[in-house]
Amino acid sequence: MTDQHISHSELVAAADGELSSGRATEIRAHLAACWPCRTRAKEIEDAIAEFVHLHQDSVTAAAADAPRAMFRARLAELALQPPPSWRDRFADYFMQGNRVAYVAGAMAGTCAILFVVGVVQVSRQQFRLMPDPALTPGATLPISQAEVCQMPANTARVIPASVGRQVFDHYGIDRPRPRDYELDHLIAPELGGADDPRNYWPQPYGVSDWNAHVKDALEDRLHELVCENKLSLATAQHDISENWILAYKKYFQTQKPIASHRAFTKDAPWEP
Amino acid sequence: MAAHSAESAVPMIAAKDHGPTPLEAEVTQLFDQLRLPVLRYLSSFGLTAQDAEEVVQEVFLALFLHLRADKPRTNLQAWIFRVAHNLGLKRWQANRKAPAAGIEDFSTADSAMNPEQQAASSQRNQRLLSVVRALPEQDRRCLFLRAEGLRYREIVDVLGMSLGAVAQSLERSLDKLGRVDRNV
Repeated sequence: MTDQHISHSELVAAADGELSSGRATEIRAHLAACWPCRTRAKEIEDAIAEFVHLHQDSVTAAAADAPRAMFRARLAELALQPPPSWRDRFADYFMQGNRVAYVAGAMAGTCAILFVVGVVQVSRQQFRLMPDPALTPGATLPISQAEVCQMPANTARVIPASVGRQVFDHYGIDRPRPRDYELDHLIAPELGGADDPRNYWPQPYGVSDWNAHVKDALEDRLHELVCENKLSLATAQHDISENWILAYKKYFQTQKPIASHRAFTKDAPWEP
Repeated sequence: MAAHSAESAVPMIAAKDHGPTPLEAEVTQLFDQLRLPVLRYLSSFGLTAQDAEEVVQEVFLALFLHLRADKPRTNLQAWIFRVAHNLGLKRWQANRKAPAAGIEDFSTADSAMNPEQQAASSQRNQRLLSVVRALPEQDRRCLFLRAEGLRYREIVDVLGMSLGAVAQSLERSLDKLGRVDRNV
């Protein structure tokens, strides 16, 4: 039956021997019976034949002798060269065209990653100069100014070790080194600060001049001002919890920590 | 003899006290067999005849190094055309600013056709030539590789196309070439 004619693509594939043997047999049988398809198949073969003649005429064999002689000479010269050592191959691999760009790109990428990691680390260190407001917004007790002033300025409290570990965990500090941090009340207890995880943060000693020693000095200064009625308790609580460094600058009238405050010790460093 | 005089004109022959090694002989034989097909394929890049000859030499010297390093010998024909493709492309890119010769210029620049043969070149051939020149680059390369006897899967290896894309490319090209005949 010749009802279903063969598609152009199948005729091309059949001419090129790219069909399965089963399908090729079917098509041969169809062509034997179907003149229109056979004509189309012949047109394809004719087009191939014409192109092949044209293509083969584009370059002829007449000019082959000189290239052949040149090739044999170059080949003989190349054959005299010893095969490359593994070192040469390694250098060759990395010095080839695009690979130079790839290697340079990879190195640049690595540098960029290291740079970003460095920036993040520095940012984290800078960040640790201040508590994370999401983790440590500060928490106060319902306490009056008079009650606060009845407390001694140095009202150190012991934070349970389990709570301390949680605080470090929340700040992403895996293994804190003993005595590198003060597990600090953001709002000091002598300013009405609560023993509440929302009021704790690990304040480092070593990353900056703006360290835990300096903040301890500020806490004393604020307690003094509150109890001298020069500052309301609420303002003191607000200012130290909002930005303790700005508060220090404001209440000590300085842009840098006072030298003696850098060694000021009120609260004990954290130790497990 | 022409061959002898051509050889003696080459200044870079290294003195050797022995004949070609079996590997050199094998590569030379492949050069003899496939130089023209590779050269014709390179015409699809629009390289000048001189550039194409130079690329052919590089291809077979690369083949020597490939075989000397005991690398795979499976389907060396496809390997040769793949290297020719890559080097041809590279050469073409390097020459891109210079005017491309194109298939017609290539064929006439190095053709051994005498004036009578050239005069006998039919109008149909000119039409075919213009159709070939107008083909998209990828289609032209497929067609040239197929004309050199590469099977579809080998063309896939050389050009990095899918099998279906190779088949469609050849269908398109043969359809266009076939219509030239029908429109005469």
